[in-house]
Amino acid sequence: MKRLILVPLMAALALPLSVVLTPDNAEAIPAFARQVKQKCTYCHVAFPKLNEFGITFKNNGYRLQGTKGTDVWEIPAWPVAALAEIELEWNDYDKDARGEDSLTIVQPEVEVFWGTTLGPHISTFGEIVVERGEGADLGPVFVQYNDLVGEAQLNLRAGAYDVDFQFLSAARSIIFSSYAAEELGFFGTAVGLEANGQILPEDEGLTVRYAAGYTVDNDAYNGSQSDLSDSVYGTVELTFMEQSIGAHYQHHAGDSADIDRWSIAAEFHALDAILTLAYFDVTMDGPSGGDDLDGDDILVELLYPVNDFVFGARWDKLGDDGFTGAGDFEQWTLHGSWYARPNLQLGAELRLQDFDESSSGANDDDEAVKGRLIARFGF
Amino acid sequence: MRAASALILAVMLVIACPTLSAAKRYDATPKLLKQGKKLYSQYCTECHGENGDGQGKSAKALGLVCRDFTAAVFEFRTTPSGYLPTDDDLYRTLTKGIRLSMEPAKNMRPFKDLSSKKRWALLHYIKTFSPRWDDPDEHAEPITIPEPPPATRDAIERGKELWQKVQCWHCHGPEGRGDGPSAPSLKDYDGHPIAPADLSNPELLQGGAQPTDIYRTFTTGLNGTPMPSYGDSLDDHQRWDLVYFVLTFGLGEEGVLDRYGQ
Repeated sequence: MKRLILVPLMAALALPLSVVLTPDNAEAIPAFARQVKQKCTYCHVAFPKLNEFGITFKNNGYRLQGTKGTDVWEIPAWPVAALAEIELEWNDYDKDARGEDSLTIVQPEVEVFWGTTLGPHISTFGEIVVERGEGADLGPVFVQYNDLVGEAQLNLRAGAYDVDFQFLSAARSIIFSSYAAEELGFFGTAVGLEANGQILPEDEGLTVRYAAGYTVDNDAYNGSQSDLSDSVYGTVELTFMEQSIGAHYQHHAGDSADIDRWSIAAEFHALDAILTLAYFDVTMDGPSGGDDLDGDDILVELLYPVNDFVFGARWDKLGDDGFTGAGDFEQWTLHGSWYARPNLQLGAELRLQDFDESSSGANDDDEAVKGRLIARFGF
Repeated sequence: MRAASALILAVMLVIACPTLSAAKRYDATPKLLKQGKKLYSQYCTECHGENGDGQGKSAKALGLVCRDFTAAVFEFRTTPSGYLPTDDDLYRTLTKGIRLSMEPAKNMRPFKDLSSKKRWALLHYIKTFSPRWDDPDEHAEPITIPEPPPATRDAIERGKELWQKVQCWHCHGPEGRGDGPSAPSLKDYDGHPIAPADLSNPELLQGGAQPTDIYRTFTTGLNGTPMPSYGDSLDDHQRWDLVYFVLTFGLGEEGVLDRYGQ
């Protein structure tokens, strides 16, 4: 009953608020921009993808450089923001001898999130996702103690958080479609403890970012991979004048099978475009001493922001040697977004999935086409 | 394996490309100016205003006096008093940012994260706001900053005498805290109240806190502010003596000798 009241109430609030708060000035844009009184493009390449300055701000515990952090009650703007998404989706699905066409309005979704310092050296981030018909879910929620060494050179984080690259993040992707590597368990939210930090150059030079942590088995966050065991992981990223490279390794030690994941990624900024390359690999011990189960994915993504538009294309090639059981597939995504306001993204997207060979031995030329029209706005 | 090789190649390119282009200077082509305009809109308008007049929304909201690019009066230069800064001066300010306040939202952020091409694009676009840049008489050769001599107790003592003689304390206060008797009445070229630098907090020395930065400020002065140039009235040795004395306000005498002594 609560849900029945809550969801329409939030939707009813969201629409007028978005109109009122759609920014015609710097103050009227989400949480962080309100705090620093700057446009959202100060921190974002295009919402929600962060630029280097935004990544530095985020890793600094949602603080501009050179401050220890303010008590939350002294922050001039409320450190809470929301993101709403409405989607019209068309599917033409033809796999495993099943043919399905559908045209749906996906249930509206509202994410309420906060990111702020709680006081000197302490920061927090959290997210609640409210979906019509699904109720409310907790997204990442964590507390971080900053500055154990230098300014954010060593921080300690506890809670639920995303394990991903700073420059290659599923949560901050401009393209709506999920990365194929998510099928292999990358980009997940984990519950655990993490030591992280960033070492920034005095002037020009190399920025080093790292994270190392321990995650625990947690069904609420592992979702479809609810049998995941505890893990240790480490990520290192190097950035020099907007060009970034990173490497990530994660080891799940299970009672019955160990899982090893590693990935390497790079992001180039050149000629006003952003090119992202990544390779993901996962190996799981085979059942009863049999062959290992493997999966890998190659990702190439090109984004081209021009004026109020962002055009993008992504190619994923997922190889599945028994890890997911879904078989190999190749995926093309074409994307176009118009930022009617800096915090209002109106996007169209077409995704083509071409399945090579499914585990059930279906036809070689199975494919799925998905078209989407999405409105996403933050306030 | 092929994918891994490609990525290793990509990694090498990521490292190599910016390294090779780091020292490159870019001329003001129409394409670069267009990019500069876009970057200016993205990063600068909230403070400096769409027209470069320093009247951005955030400037008003935060009560800041932001640089008016239409007047083209710049404080941080290597050129003699009254002249425009060099491109390298503007590039340095863009790269390092300006620390105006202990409140981070009131500072100009460093743009060291942007590629050098983008910083050159911004720099050239900023110069389009004033016709002064087109006048050859407004430009001058930069000064040469010599290698700093080592700090000594004698140099600090001589600097202290100069501090009294030149009456630096009149604006900066006896303890260098920016609270001298003239401080409340100081104004910039446009009539805005302006506070003298608090020399006891090296973090807030806007032109930089290294001996060469302070020497540069003494030599060129800060255009548009009451801080004059001592390039003619003090000789080279006297300016270094004064530099080391001024640094004692933030670091203490022993701190200066430890850091800059022989």
